[in-house]
Amino acid sequence: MNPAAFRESVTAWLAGHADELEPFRARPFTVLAEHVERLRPFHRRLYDAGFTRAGWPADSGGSGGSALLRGVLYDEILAAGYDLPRGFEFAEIIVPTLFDFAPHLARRHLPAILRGDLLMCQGFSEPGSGSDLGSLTTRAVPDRDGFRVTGQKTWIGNGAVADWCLLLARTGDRASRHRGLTMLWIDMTSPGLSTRPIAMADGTDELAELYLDDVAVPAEHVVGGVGQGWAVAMHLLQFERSTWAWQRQAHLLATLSTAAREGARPAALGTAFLDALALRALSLEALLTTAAGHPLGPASSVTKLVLSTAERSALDARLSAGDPILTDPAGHHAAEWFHARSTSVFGGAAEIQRDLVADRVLGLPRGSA
Amino acid sequence: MTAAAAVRDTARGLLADEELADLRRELVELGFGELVAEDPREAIALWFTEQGRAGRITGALDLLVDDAGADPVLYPLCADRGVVLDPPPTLTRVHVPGVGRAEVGQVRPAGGFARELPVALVEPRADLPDLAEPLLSRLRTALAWELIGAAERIAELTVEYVGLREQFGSPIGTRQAVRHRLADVRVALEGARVVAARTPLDDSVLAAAAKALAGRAALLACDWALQFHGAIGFTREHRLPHHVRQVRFLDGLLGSAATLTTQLGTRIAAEPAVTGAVRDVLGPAAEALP
Repeated sequence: MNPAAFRESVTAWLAGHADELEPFRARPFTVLAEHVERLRPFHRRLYDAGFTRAGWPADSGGSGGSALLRGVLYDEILAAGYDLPRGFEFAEIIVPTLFDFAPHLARRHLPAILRGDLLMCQGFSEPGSGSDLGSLTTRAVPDRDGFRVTGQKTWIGNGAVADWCLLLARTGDRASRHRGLTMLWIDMTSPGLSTRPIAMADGTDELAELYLDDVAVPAEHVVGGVGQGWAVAMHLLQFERSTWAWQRQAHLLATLSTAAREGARPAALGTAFLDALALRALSLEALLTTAAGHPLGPASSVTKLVLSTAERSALDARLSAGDPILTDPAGHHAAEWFHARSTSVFGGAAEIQRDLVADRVLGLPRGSA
Repeated sequence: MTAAAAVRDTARGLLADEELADLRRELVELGFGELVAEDPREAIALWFTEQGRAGRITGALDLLVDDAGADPVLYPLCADRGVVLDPPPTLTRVHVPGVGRAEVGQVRPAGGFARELPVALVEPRADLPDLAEPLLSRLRTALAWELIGAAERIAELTVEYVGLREQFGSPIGTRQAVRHRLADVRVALEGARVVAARTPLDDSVLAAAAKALAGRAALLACDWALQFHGAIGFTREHRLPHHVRQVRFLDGLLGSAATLTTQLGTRIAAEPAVTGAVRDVLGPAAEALP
């Protein structure tokens, strides 16, 4: 099915089931687990209608067709004013990475992911390793049948609700930096693994800390080979910085429509519309590039920077309608405001992205200060 | 070599030839009209990018206007960022129907216009006197590409310069303060380019957005180019001031970035569904796939 025809079938289905889909209309949340459970039946309905399988490989539980079909689905769900079930977010970041580096794991888990039964997270950051990811200290020590992992991870989105975690650990010595890292696929129910939600300034518990105490990971759960963790992480971050942004642009355009109805100021609306449009066109390029099987490259940093700007200006437009931070008793606007600001921090801080653009897109001489 | 690449090379050759005084005639001989008739989006993108890079007066906009068969009486010029034409036009204050009192005058040939241009200087963020569609959107798209070409060239000049210019023992382009701002220029430029590239022919919302994004990117490129070139960038000997004048004029013509941004916002405020309607023209479903 081509994207235009798929779009028609999705919009027709959404419109035809509007009454039953009412519980899934977009609304802010504070408790992540409740948010996930509220939307799980929505994911399942989309699966039963055949939509979530579109654009994923037919030999792995999908129904085939261009990966662009996935982009169409997210665009239409968000444009129609619904929340996007949580499983779709990491599906666009982690699953393509699994297909590229551990296809056996992708094939094993994809059916459950497409049903909305399996949630994922990624364990990269540590208390001492943020932008300098190559300094991480969580250790994976070889064992008879794989590795034993010990350490602490933090700022894990979905951390407290996920079933599986894609985790970056050190297999080389301390001085090995980014060369001594290995990516592992870890069952979140493993003995020795525990999580603790972090109370965020936006009122949610969206992020969590992850503690690993001698957690066993079988050898077949190495993603991309021992010592190849850095390459896998960089590959994954391209999706997080560009194709995932496609979901956000749809959300932001829908936000602007709401802001307009609430009486947002024209100058703020116009600015945010331009930013969202730039994000839409850039992330569409990323979708087209990956759908054609080509690497994304340093252009993903450009998209990530536009994403940060677009998130901010959309919230600025929303808030220009009045003074809702002060007058919104539930604090939802303030929550969204904090979330928008965090976009220039997660997935690689804006300063890192600018360095990448300066090095790899502009070809400027490298500096140290 | 693809057909587009061949046309681009021809365009570059023409624009690089300083001996050619009448580029409008050259364009006619090149078959610009036929190229536009055949594939207007591609032809406009290609020619106006090159023209913007060269910063020359060509008459290509004259040809687009003539093609539409209706020469507007007045072209709105927004002076909200200050248009720095050299020499400045002589303006007269008159009453313009539909606009009220306005400063009108003739602008010497500039950018895509090889003829003297009748302009009405309009207040920042004012309603613009209407040019008939689809001509307005087509001209805005062409101006967007011309701004993108100019900004590309300005950014290239700056990247090249900061890589060579040494102070304190190393190129100034090794300093994060410089690198990050030039990264921001590139990011703004990429956003403008991808939106312009996916703007359907004569779509009023996207053409206005493309011109606003291009103007925004080009003005940012000018600001940092002037800063990072240091004193040399303010001399007549350097080509940068010429590009800066070019950008400020092109941005003002038919709606500056600031004016168009507010106008788009006003449009969305009146019609919130505009943001969702973008899906019809820019998205996977609107792609012509192999």
